[in-house]
Amino acid sequence: MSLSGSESDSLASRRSKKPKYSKFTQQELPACKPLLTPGIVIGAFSLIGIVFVPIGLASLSASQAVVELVDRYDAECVSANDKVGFIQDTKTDKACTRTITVPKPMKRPIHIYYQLENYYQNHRRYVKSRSDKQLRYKDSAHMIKNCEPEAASEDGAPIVPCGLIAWSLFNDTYAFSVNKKSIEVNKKNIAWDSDKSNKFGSDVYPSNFQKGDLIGGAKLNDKLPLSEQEDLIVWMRTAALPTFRKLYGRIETDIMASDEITVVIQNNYNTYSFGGTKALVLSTTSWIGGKNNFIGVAYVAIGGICLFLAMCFVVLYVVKPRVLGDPSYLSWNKETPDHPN
Amino acid sequence: MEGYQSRRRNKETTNLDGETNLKIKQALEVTLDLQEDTMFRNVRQLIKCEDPNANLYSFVGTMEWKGRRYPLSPQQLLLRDSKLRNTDYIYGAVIFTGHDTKLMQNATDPPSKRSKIEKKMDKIIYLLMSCLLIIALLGSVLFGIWTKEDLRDGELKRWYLRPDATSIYYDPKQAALASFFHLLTALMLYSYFIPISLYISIEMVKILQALFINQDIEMYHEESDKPTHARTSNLNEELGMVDTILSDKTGTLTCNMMEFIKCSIAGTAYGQGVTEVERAMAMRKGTRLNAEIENGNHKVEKVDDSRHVKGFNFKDPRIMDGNWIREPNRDVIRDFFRLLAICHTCIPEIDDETEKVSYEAESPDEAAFVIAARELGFEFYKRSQTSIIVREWDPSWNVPEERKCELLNMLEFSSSRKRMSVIVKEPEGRILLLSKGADSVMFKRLAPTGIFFEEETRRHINEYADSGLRTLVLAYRVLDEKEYREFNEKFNTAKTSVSADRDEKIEAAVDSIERDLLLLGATAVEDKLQKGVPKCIDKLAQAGIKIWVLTGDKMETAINIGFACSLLRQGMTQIIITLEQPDIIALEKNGDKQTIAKASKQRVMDQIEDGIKQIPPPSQVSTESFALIIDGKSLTYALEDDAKFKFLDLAVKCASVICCRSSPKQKALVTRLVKQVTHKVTLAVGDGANDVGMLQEADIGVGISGAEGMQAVMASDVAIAQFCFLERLLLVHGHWCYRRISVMICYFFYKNVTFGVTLFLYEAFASFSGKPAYNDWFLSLYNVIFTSLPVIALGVFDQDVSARLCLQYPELYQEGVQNILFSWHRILGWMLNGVMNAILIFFFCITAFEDQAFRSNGQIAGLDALGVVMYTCVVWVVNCQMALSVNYFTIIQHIFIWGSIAVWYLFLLAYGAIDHLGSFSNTAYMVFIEQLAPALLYWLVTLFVVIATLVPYFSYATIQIRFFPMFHNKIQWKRYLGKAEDPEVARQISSQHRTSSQQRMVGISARRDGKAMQITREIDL
Repeated sequence: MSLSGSESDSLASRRSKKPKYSKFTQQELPACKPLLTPGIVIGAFSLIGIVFVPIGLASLSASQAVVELVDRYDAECVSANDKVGFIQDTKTDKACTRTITVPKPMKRPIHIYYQLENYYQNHRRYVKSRSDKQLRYKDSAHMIKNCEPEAASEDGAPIVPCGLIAWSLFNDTYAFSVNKKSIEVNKKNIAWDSDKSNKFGSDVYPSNFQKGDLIGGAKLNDKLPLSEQEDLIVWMRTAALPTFRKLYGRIETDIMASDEITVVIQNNYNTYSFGGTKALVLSTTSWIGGKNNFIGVAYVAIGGICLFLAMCFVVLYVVKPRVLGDPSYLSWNKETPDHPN
Repeated sequence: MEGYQSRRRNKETTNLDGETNLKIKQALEVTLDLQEDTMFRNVRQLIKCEDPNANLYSFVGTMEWKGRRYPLSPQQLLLRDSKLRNTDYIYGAVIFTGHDTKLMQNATDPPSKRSKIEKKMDKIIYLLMSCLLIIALLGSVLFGIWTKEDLRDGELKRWYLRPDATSIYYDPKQAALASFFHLLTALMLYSYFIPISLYISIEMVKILQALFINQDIEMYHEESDKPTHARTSNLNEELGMVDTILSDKTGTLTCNMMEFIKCSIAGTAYGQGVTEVERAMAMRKGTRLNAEIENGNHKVEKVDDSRHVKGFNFKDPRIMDGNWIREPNRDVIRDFFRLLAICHTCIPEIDDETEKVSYEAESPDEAAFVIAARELGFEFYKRSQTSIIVREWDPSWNVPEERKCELLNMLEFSSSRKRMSVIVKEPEGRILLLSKGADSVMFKRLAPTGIFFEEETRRHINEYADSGLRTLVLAYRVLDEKEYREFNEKFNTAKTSVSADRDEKIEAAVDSIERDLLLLGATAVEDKLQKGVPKCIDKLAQAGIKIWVLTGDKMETAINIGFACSLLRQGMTQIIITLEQPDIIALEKNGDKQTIAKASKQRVMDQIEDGIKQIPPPSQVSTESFALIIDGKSLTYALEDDAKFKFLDLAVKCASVICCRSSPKQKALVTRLVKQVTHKVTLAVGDGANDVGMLQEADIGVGISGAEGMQAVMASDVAIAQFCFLERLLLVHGHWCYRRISVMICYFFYKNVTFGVTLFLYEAFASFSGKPAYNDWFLSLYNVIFTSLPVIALGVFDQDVSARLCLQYPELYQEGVQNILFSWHRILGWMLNGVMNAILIFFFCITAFEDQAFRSNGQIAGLDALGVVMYTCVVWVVNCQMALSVNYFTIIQHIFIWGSIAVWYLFLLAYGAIDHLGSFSNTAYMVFIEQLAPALLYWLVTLFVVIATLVPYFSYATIQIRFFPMFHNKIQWKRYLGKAEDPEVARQISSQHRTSSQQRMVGISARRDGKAMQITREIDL
């Protein structure tokens, strides 16, 4: 009897449309219900403050340790009034000598950058004007779809590397001497390894490059494969913002304080047409990179604000401790009477 | 098909007006002898009648036959969709078919419903669209200007872009055209402002929400094996915004079951049953009474288990099992029950096998009386045209004795007479007039000698009425032969007269005999409410929801039910608008249609005006509350265009509104009126086919999947098994869904605005050329992978307070009614937060990565690296913002939120590792692993940006929650302090929250408060 009873029970429960009970379906899952209580709030703000201020100070000191020399030369290196005419004239000698005094000792390696301003490498037309396939594979030289108008030479042969980016390659050059003694600039390893190994083919050689009427920028050595043309690789990693630096090379010797660096600049690159500036930057690095106080200051500031807020909340909770409508603060609900009588 | 019939029969009109009792339909007397098919051979009748209309209770027509005209009334009309009972066949003529029938005239087209939230969401989309258009235009204009400047007098400016040999998109010579093309590009690029995925996500969330509603075990009805069924998931959040509930009565509030529960005989009250109302009131009154009732309740339930007779819930050992014989007033008691067994219009049906008698009655309360008499030993057994046979169990002998009373006259019930009487001749030879009727008419007719327990009876009647029972007063009179003969003569002449004043003559005759009655006592019948209805209504009223009852029932019934479910109470001013007034009725008898309409309209308008005048202006503090009761006929006029605003004005000021005798169409019209004029969310509840129009018209239609077929359920948006599930459906699920959807939508806009604004800001630094800061795949996957699941989890799982607390603090529901969580300033606040976050993220990132080397080997971050940095920050900020907004952190939320962030890094790794065969991951290739991951600055910037961006919101939330808490915050605080369950705390918080205008006007609590006030007033006097 009992057997048949349980059987019919199970039969009934199977037929029944009764929802199955589970914590999930009944929306009763165990949950943490965070509430911004004074403890949590003050704790959180204090913690942020305590963590942020040291980080900020460390970053700031790292940034302060970096020695950075910026020398803008685009105006001084052109004496003529018609700057655009001057720079477009291929025949004139564009050498220009600059002297920089080093205020603090600079430890090697000293990174050399050129800095351009008001140069839109991030313009959509510019960014798209390249052919990744062509850069990597020898037999993809004809893939020049996006490269107009620098896609093919007049006789129709594809330009390698094609496109506006490569065509406008930066072509100022710098020769350094410290205290009249010339020093070597190491131009190896200025590009990302993955670019050299995977984006630029080691069997792809420049061809028909800068052969048109309008010469954009630097010419390439036809004998070197693209993967070894590091200046090009660096240039072709387009910058995010209209003011940008690009790594030119490194000086592998220390420079003492008050040493004089003489730079002979071949001022070839035309930034005058669009009102851009050019500058030469020499910088050491620390663990945080180059000189930028922002992150350190910001950390210290936010840390300070959070500590301040924590204190404000402590004061607020002391001054106005009750939650609106909390009956436990009503006089008759308090354990200790408000009035001594 | 509708027609008129030629025999007196009963029919059921459940599907038309929701009443389950039978209606008598009668053929014209002149056609009564047409009994055979062959007799119709020469019948030539001409029927003229009114045009098709939706009014169920009126029909005007004439039949011409043999040169004479006979009026046709609704009595002769069989409506489509009614069922014929106790009749094998009828002869009839079809009057209207198809769409002309009253049923079809009452039908409304099924509407497509969208929630208010979604409609508002559309507006936000328009707003964002215009923002999008504005910034795209701005970008295009600037782009055009810059492009134009690239080539001046044949001189190349930005020569590296080759403006001299370019495509149309960048052509300086056609800058306007380029600018236009750019506009298209920009519209595509900034399309992230408009979250297309929002619609998909909302659909998914709503379906899941609906599943949870369906799965709720607390809304499952064991007896009928019916879970709640959300038939459309469109309206989930609307359930949390209901302002007015329009409820059907029969089958919705009540079970449509009358139970004889108490009586007062000879000034003694009998009956220990507890009504639903008393139970609910006691529950709120306090523990002492509570325990008492609980105990009583317990006993009753035990008895219930052993033997329960439908329609009979009377428990009193003093009377039951023949014990009445030992009561001091046994003669009165016997007469009392004899009267119940004789004075009615029921028809007994005897089951051949079990010999059990069951009764067919015109109204369920009549049946309840006859059943009560049967259970107490006075079994009404047989009725013939001229006699009534009652089997009486004499307690002393315990054998049935058949008493055959000769039925002399039947003075039928009418709503104006409010009483019915029979005149019978007892087997012993006495002629008795047995009468039962409403107390208002009966007490006036008592003989001066018959009132010695009038006082007690009156008190009992008041008590009964207060516990929501229907009361009738029973009285009788012994007639002597002569008196009866005189009356009978007068009555018969009146009946057979054909003059216009026939009715008055009958009335006068009847009136003359129904006087000098001797009081026997009073009965109390419970129109059985569904389980938990008073409590549910009380909770809904506390939640600030207005409840209107729209019923096809008679006014008296409707008012009774109003009392039973605490929508009406003693001390409430009833504003009754009716056309059942002598002069209007007189007009209707002989006036032409236009005068009737005009007079009726004027009368209704006057009554509405009077009602408005009675109500003090809101500025005046008043504890008085008002109830509006209006009948269907008046409603017809009140709903006309020039009157309806006034009517609604009055109705809105009343605490409860009851519309009786209303047709399905009128129910729908009232619903539409409320919906259109108040612009608030209306919810209609009903169970029958007559409620379909109302369910479809309301913003939300809730069908009760009860006994009455499936039509209401098919037309509804949510089907529940019991009215009381409405409480949980609205206060818990409605509130949750409303909260979830509104927060979810706000958040969705926030996250897309954040993302879109970073894109726009970047454009400003890329001469608006249309170059996005992020890789194409990052762009596409933002809404799909990295930010989608947490927001869906929020939409499906988040709860501000638990279900139990939702029910304990019904005032919380007002957040939805007033639409606080989805107000414009909240929406715009979220968007502003998004814009702010985006600005912070963007400038922090570009300043930190400006132009210096970002790692110790001196390399510079290019476009790809900076894009990834910014994107990382956006993903972090948006997900952490979600973590701050969530109130209910289950394991699911943790997995989704932190998982989304983790997935971003995994994606970076995986996507960046794809060798660019076919240039697949071009700009993202190895960016993370080679460039960013080893750079400490990257991690420092991420941490900094996330914290710095969220600190403002965090501080705002802290201050708001602590010092300007919203209602749900207050409850959260209480829960945190462990005091939320304390009813005293609940009352305090609630009373603080309630504004004077929202003061509970109806419900058990209000009734209790009202009673307390009354008592105080009495004491003061």
